[in-house]
Amino acid sequence: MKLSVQNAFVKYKNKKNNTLEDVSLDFSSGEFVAVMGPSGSGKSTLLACMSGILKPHHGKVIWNDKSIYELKDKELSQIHGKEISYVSQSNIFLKEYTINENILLPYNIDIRNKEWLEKAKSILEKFRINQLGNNYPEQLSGGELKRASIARAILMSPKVIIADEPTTGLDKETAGIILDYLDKLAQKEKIVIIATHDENVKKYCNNVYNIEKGKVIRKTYHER
Amino acid sequence: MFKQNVFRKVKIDVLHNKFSIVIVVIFAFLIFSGSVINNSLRNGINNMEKRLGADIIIVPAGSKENAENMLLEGQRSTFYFDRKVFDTISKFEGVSEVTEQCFLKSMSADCCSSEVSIVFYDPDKDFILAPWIGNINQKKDTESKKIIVGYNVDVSKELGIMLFGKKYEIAGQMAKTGTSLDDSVYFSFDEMKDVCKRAEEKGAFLTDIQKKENIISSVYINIKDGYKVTDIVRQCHNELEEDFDTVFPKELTKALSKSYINILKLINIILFTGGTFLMLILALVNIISMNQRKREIALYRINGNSVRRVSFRILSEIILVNIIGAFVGCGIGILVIIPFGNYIGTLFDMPYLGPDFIGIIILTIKAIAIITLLGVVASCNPIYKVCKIEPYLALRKEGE
Repeated sequence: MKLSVQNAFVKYKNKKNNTLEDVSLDFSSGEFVAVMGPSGSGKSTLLACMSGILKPHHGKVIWNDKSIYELKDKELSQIHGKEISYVSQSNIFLKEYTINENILLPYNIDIRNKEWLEKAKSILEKFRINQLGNNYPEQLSGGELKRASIARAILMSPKVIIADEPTTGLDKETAGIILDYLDKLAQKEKIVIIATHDENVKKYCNNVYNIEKGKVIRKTYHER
Repeated sequence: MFKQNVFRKVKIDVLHNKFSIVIVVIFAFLIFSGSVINNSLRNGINNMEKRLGADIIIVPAGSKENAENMLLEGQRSTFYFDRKVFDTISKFEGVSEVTEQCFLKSMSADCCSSEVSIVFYDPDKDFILAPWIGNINQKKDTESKKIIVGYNVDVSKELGIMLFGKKYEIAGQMAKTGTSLDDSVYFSFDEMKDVCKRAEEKGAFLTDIQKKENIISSVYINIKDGYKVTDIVRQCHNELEEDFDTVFPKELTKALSKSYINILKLINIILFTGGTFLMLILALVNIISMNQRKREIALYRINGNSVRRVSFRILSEIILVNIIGAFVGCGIGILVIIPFGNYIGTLFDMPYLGPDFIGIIILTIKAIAIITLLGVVASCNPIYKVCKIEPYLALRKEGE
């Protein structure tokens, strides 16, 4: 399994400079990668490009020899969530639905489907929030919602998990729970890529990419 | 699963959708009411055309206006001339069909709470009532003293009807005309003497002329192909001994059709203007709603739903909202417009024949179909635009 970004350029309409400028990166199975850098450096944009949810203006994203932005919408949608999963920086939940429903509904899975409901519950249990499955999003704290977001992202056992600042604003214990789980996924030959400001994350990672003004300025290899 | 989610979402989001539903309800009410009024006026005119059923009607001199009112609104009047008029006209060249009727008067009868109009006609020659009573053998039935009753006359075909102390069997009941013809009872001329006698015995006051045996009120004439109305009128002037007036039913319907077209134009203008205005509001509501749902749509897309699937899902919700709103709007229309049909007819001064149950169902289905289609048209573009936005931009624009 291999995920590559090749010569990616991204420019937003309302910005003078490129947000990403000629970025090329390669990731392989079992890698736990952190993308670090100051706010506005292009971390989130890079993660979005790799996730298949933001097409770069130039360059390619290759997943298992397929250029994902050249795929048809339906083919790309079959990669989203099932092969490459994305966790947004903000917690996106439908406030009218319970946490269990918020985990299952986006995949068009019926809440009455016992098999999937059990799977959702078991993931929530790993994040220690299984008792909150029937609660509504507004009843959960930011840390609990973040864990539920990641639970939703890994429901379909994707091969790549891309999380944008999954530990920002969380207490040490909650951040630890999340990182431990992501680490276990990486050990199971998944690719885990996170954007973060958190220096503590480094100890979980094989590689840390530092990014500034849309360019990768440094790649650091870490012993885990 | 997909269907359940759509139903669930609409159920949960009903408050979010309430503004859309209110607009759809108003829209549906307008379309349904406009269709019912249009349909009823058109039915009224068609019905009247059928009821007129003759090229020329000859009535006694001075009775033209009463006769026209009778044709247009079914108001009964009494005017008479001698039966000789009918006999003379029957011999005219160019007459293909001719029949006569006599309106005795409206009076209370044992059968009914309101007064019934007593009319005599000739079953052998009749072509005026025939279209309203289906396949009955008028001659045979009226020979056996059976009568024909209007739509509103409360009778049972099996039990017959009690009139002026005598029980009559029912040969047939007329279809609804939407006029006071619905309150009429039609006897054969053979029964005239007996009915008048019984009516008098029951306290009805008959004038001297009404007691005569050889009176008629009107003569209905259909003209042979190749002849003109003027040919018959000329013969009338030459050969009738009594003064008379002529009524040309088709001229009456022409004038009414003109009025109907004007009313229809007005209804269409109101529907078009109101409809366009509401469509624009609906489109605007959909644009706002779609923008509010960007994050939700992005959530579906980052979890494996294609643009097409998400669009279809949102569209299904909108269709469901439209169907619910259209049902409510039509329901209000049924409660408001149907009971006041006669009043609406009076307001327009036009014959008005409201739809029957099946007609209401058809108009409701049509209104729901139109509303749903327009709802889809008003929402397709905003849905497609928002669903096409790259998911990350949809998330980012919300302030990420």
